Amino acid sequence: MDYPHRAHDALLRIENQIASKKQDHVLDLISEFIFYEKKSDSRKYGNNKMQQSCGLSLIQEFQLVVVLCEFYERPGEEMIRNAVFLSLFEGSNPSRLKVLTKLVGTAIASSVGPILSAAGTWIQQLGPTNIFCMELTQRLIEDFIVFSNKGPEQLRTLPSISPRFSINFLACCTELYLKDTVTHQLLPPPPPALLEVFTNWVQDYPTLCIDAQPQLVLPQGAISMPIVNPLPGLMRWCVLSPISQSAIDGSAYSKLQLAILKCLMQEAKQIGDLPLVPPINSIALGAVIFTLKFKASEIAKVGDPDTDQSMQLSLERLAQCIQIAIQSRSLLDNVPQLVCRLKKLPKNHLLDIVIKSQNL
Amino acid sequence: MTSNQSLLNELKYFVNGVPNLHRGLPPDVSAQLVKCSLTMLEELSTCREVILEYFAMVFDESVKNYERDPQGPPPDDEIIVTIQESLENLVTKGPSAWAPLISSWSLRILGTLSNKYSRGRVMDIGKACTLWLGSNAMRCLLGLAALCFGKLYSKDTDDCIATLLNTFVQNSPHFDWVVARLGGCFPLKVISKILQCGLRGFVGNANSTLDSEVGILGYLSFAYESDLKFALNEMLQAVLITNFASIQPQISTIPYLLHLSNMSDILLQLIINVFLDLCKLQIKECCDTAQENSSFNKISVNDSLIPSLIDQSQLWPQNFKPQNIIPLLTSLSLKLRNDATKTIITLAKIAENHAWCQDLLESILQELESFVWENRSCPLLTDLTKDDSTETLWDSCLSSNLFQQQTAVRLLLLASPQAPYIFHQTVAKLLEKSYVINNNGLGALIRILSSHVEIPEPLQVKPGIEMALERLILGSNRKRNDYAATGLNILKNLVSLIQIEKLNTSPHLNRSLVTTTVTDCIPKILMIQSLLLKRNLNAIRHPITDDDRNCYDADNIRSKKTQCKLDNSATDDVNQVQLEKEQIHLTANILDLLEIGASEGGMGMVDVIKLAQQTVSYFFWSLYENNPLQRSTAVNRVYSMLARQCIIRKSSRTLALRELLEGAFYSYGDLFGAHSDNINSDTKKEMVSLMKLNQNHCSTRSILHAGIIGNGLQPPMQAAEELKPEMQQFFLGAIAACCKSDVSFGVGLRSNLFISRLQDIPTTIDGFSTVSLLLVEMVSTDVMYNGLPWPDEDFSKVTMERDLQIRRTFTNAPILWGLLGLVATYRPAICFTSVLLRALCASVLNQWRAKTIDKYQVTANNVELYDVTKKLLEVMSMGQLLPPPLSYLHTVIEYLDASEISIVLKECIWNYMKENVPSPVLYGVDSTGLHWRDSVAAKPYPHFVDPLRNIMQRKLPQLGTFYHQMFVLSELSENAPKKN
Repeated sequence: MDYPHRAHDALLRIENQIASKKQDHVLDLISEFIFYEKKSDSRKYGNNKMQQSCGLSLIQEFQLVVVLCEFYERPGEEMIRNAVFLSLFEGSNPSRLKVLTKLVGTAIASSVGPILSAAGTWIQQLGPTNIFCMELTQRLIEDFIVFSNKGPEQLRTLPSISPRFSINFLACCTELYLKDTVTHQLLPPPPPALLEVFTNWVQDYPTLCIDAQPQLVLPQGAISMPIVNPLPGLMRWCVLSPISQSAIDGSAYSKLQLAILKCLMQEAKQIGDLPLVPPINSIALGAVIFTLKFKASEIAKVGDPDTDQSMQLSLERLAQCIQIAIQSRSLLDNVPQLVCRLKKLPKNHLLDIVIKSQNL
Repeated sequence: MTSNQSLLNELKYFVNGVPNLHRGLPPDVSAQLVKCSLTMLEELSTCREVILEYFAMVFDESVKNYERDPQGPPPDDEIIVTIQESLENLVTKGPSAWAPLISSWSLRILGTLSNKYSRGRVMDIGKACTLWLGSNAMRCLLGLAALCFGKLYSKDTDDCIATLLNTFVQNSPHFDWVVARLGGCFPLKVISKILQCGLRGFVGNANSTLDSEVGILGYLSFAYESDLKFALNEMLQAVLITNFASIQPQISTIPYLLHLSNMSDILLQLIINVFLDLCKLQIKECCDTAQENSSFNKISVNDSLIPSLIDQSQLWPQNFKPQNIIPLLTSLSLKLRNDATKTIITLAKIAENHAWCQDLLESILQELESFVWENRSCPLLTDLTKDDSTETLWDSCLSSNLFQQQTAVRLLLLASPQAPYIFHQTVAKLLEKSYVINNNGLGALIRILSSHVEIPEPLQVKPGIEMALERLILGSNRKRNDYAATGLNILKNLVSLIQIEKLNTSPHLNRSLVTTTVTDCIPKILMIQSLLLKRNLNAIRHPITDDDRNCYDADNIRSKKTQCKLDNSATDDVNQVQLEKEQIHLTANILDLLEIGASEGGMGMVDVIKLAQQTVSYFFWSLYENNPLQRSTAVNRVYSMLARQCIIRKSSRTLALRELLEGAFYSYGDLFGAHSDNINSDTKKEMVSLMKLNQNHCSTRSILHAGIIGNGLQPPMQAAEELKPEMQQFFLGAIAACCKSDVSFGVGLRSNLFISRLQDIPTTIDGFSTVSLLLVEMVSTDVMYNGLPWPDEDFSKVTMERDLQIRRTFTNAPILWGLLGLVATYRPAICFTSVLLRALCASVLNQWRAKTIDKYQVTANNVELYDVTKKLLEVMSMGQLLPPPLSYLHTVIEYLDASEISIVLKECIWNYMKENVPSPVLYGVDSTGLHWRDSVAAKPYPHFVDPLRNIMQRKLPQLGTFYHQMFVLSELSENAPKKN
C-alpha cells in the first residue's frame, strides 16, 4: 500500500482509538505510520526507496496534507478532531511543524474551516508565546505575506472562516513584531501587508477581539487555556511604531490605532454588561510604558524627549488608548498604579489630561 | 469555501501526479502538471519548495535528454519555457523575497546537474559553456540565476555569492562554467572571492593546480579585466603595503599569485600589469632595493614594499624559496606578453644591489638566446619588437646603470634576428643621441655595432647608418633646431666611431666596420653636405654681402636679424646656422677621415664628381668662416682631400680645378674682390622681351665694349676691391693641392705621413696646364684666335674687343694675376695662357700708344696702366717666356714714358713673341723634374733687344744699374765661357 493511503488508514484508526478512549498506541501509530519517524521499522512495510529514508519527503508531506484535508472535511465530532489534531502535533518536532505549516497554509488558502479551528485550538492550548506557535506564525507570514501576492487577499476573510484561528494567529503575530527584547532592542515592525490585513480585520470584524470565543472543545480531562487578547499587542504596535527606527509608514499605524479605538468604543456602547474577560491587560500596557521610558532615557542622551516628535506621537497614542480603555472599562486591574507609572513618562499634553482626569 | 476547493483539487492532482514522474508521463499529463504547479505557486506559496523540487526533476529530465545527444534536434521543451516564463514573472513582478530563493535554487540545480551529467569529463570553461548553453534547461536556469542576481539587494548579494561559491566548491570543476558566466553579475565580488578561495586552496596544498580558479579567472578576465585588476591590486596592496601580513593565508599571497601566473598566461599578464601599476604608485624616483623573488617584483619600488617582500619571503613555502624559483620566474618572464621589456629592464635596474637579480637576469637572457638560436619564438621576444618596448630599451641604452644598459643592449640584439629593422633602428637611434655628458651610450652603440656576430644571422649595420643619415637628410630640409641637433649628434658620433676605429684601441671596433659602412654611404653624406652647404651659404652670405663685410660675427647678425625681421625666430636662426656650420665641418671631417677617393676603386663616377664639387664648395664656404683657427683647419682639410682625390684621378683634378676657378671668378667672386655688377645689368635685360629686342634691330654688333647702343655709355668700371692676401694664398693653395702628383710616392700614400707632408709632395705640370687651359676657357670670350702663336700686331685690331674684355676681367678679378703667377712658376704651363697674355699685351700696347698721341695725357692717371703692364711683364718673365734681358723689363718699365713703353712693347715684346711661339716644346726637363728654357736657344735676336737698349742708354743716369744688370752682366757671362 502506498504512503498516502496508509496514512489515511492510520488516521482513521487513530480517530477510532481516540473516540473509543483507547489511546495507548495512538502516538506510536502517528510516529510510525504518519510521520515515518522510525527508520528501522519503515523497512518492514515497503521497499519503495522513498520510504527508506527517515521522515517524509517533500511530496509525501503534501500527500499527508491532502490526506489530512480530506480527513477534516468529512463531517465529524469536533472534540475528537481537536484531539486528533493535538495528538498529531502535540509533541511538535521540527519535521512535524513543517507538515503543520503546510497544512495550515493549505487550509488558509483553500478555506478549510475545520482544520483552521483545530489549529486555532492548538495555538490557544500552547499559548501564543510558545516557540512552536511562533515558528508556525512566522512560516505562515512568510508564505502569505513575504512570498505571495495573493496572500493578503486570502488572509483578509480568515476571521469569517475561523475566528478562533484568526484571533490566536493575531495574538501570535503581535508577539513577533515591535516588541522589546532583553537587550532593549525593539523587534522590527511587521511587514506593511500584514499590518494592513490586521487593520482590515479590526475594522471589518470589530467584534473579533472583544467578543468572547466559545469554550474550547477538548477531550475530557484536558484543561483548556484562556485566550490571549491581541488588542494590547496591536496597541503596542501603534504606540511603539513612531519610536522604532525602521517603521516608516505612519499612516498605516494611524489607521490601525483608529480601528482599535473604534473597537474599544464599541465595547463602551455595551456598557450595561461587563465582558467576561476584560480584553486589555494592564500588565501588557505596563510593558509598553517601560519600553517608552527606556527609549526616553535614550533620547535624553542626545536631545530632549519632551519635544521629540516621534516620542510625542507615541505618548499621544498611548494616552488615547488608555483614555478610551478606561472609559470603556476594558482595562483590567490596577488603573491607579498604571496612571502612577504614566507620570514617569516624558511630558505630553494629552497624557497630562488623562492623568489629571484619573486623579479627580 | 467552495471557490477554494479548486485549489485543493489542484494540490491533489499535483500530489498524485508527481510521484509517478520517474515512470515517465505522457506529454499532456506533464504539461497539465506543470500548469497546475504554476497555479499553485501563485496561489499557495506554501508549497513552493515542493514545486521547485518538482521543477528540478523536470530540468533534470530535460538535461538528461539533451546530454544523451547534444547534437540532436533541440527537444521540444515547452514545459521548460513555461516554467522559465512564470518564474521570471515571479522574480520580476512578485515579492522581492523570491529572488534570493530562486537564485540559490537555480544555482543548486545548476551545480547538481552539471556535476551529474558531466559524467566525470573535465571540460574547459569554453567547451562547457558551449555544451550546456545548448540545453534549454541549463540556459533557463542560468538566465534565472542572472535575473535574480540583478534583482538582489545588497544585503542578499553576499549570501548569493556565498551560495555560488559553496556550490562551486562542492561541484568543482564541473560548476566552473556557471561561476564564470554568472561572475559577470558581480564581477568584482566574485573575482575577489574566487581569488581568496584559491588562496585558501593553495595554502592547503601548495601543489594544487587550482584549475577551476584559474579557468574561471581567465574566463572572467576577458570581460572584466578591470575588476580582476582591481581585485588583484587590493590583494597585493593588502599584503605588501597597507599592513604587513604575518598570518598564514596572506603570507602566501605572492607565491600564490606566482603559482597562478604559472598556470595561466592571461593571469600572468594581468598580475604583472597590476604589480607594475601598484609599484608606479609607490615609485619615488629610482629605487635602491629590490626583492629577488617574483618576476613582477622587478619593478623599482620604494622602501616599504621591498623589505616587506623580503621579510615575507622568509615565510614562504619551501618550494617558493627565492633560490628555488629562478627557473619558474625565467619561464614566466618568457611568457610575458605586454610590459615584458619594462619588467626586465626594471629587474636590471635593481640588479646592481641584488646578486639574485643578476642570476635571474642572466638566466632569462640565456634562455632567450637559446630561443633565438633555435629560431623559436616566445611572447617575450614578440614584446621586444613592440614600439614602446624598443623605445624603453633605447632609453635604457643610455642609462648610467651598467646592468640596465647591458641588458638593454642584449635584448635589442636578441630582438634583432627576427626583426632586423629593430637593429637598424637601434643603430640609427643611438647615433642620434648625444654622448657628450654620458658616454655610456656610445659604449652601447659600439657594443651593438660590433656584436652583430653574436647572433645567428649576421646583421647589416649599413641600413642602420643609412637610416640615420636619411633622417638627417629629412631633418635638414626642415628648419627645426632639434632636427639640427640630432643631425649634429649623428655626425659627431660617426666621427668619433671612425676615429676610434682608426686608433684601433677598442677591442670591439677593430674590424673597421663603421669605416667600411660609412664609406658605402658616401653618396648620402655628400648629399647631406650639399644640402647643408647650399642653405647655410645662403644664410651666411646674404646678410654679410649686403652690408658691412667686417661685421661677421654672430652678434651682429643677430642684431641685424632682429632689426629687420622683428621676429622671435631670429635667435633660433642664428643657432641653426651655427649648428649647420658644425654639421658641415663634421661631414667634411668624415670625408677626410675616411680618406674618400684615396683608392682607385669603390666609387662611382657620380660620386667622384660630387665629391670633387663638394670639396670645392666646402672650401669656398669655409673661406667665409671668420674664426681663423677653424678656417685654417678647414682649408687644410680641403687641401688634403683635394690632393688625395686628384692624385688618384685625373678626372677629379680637372673637375676640381674647374670648380675652383669658376667659383673664384663667378660664384664666390666676392671673396676675391670681384664685383657682381654684371649680374644686376643682366637682370635688367631679362625684363626686355625678345620681340622688343628684335624691333630694336639690334644685332650683336650693337653691344660694344663701351656700352650697348641704345643704353648709353657703360658706367665706368669699378676698381676691384682689395684682394685679401690670405684669401689668395688659400685659393692658390687649393689649386696647388689639386695639382699634386704621386710620382715619387707611388700608390701607397694613404697614411698619416701623407697628410703631414702635403707640402713635400711634388706637383705635376699637367695640373697647371689644366689650370692654364681652364683660364683661357673662362677668361677668353672668343672661341677663335685662341692659339698659342702671337700673330702680327696689326691683327690685334680684329681681336680688339675680346682683348678689352679679357683685360676687364683681369681688372675685376685680381685673383687672376695671382693665378697667372702661380702657373708661371710651373713653367711650361704658362704657354697655354698665351692668348690671355697676348690680349693683355695688345690692350696695354694700344693704351700706351693712345697716350703717346695726346701729349698732355701722358703722365695723367697712369698708375693702373703701369701696374698692369708691370704685372704682365712679370708673369711673362717668370714663365721664362721672355729671355734675358727682356725678362728684366718689368723692373725698368716704370722709368719709361708712354711712347717709350709703346715702342718697347711693340718692338721687343710683341715682335719677339711673334717670332718665338710660346710652346712647351721650348722647355727642357732637368734632373730634378723642373722645366727650364734653354737660355742659349732662346737668346733674342738683337733687333728685339736693341730698341730697349737704346731707350735705356738714353736714360742711363737713371737706369745705369739696371742697364748694367740687363746688358753688361749677361754679355760678360756670355763672354766668359768663351774665354775659358
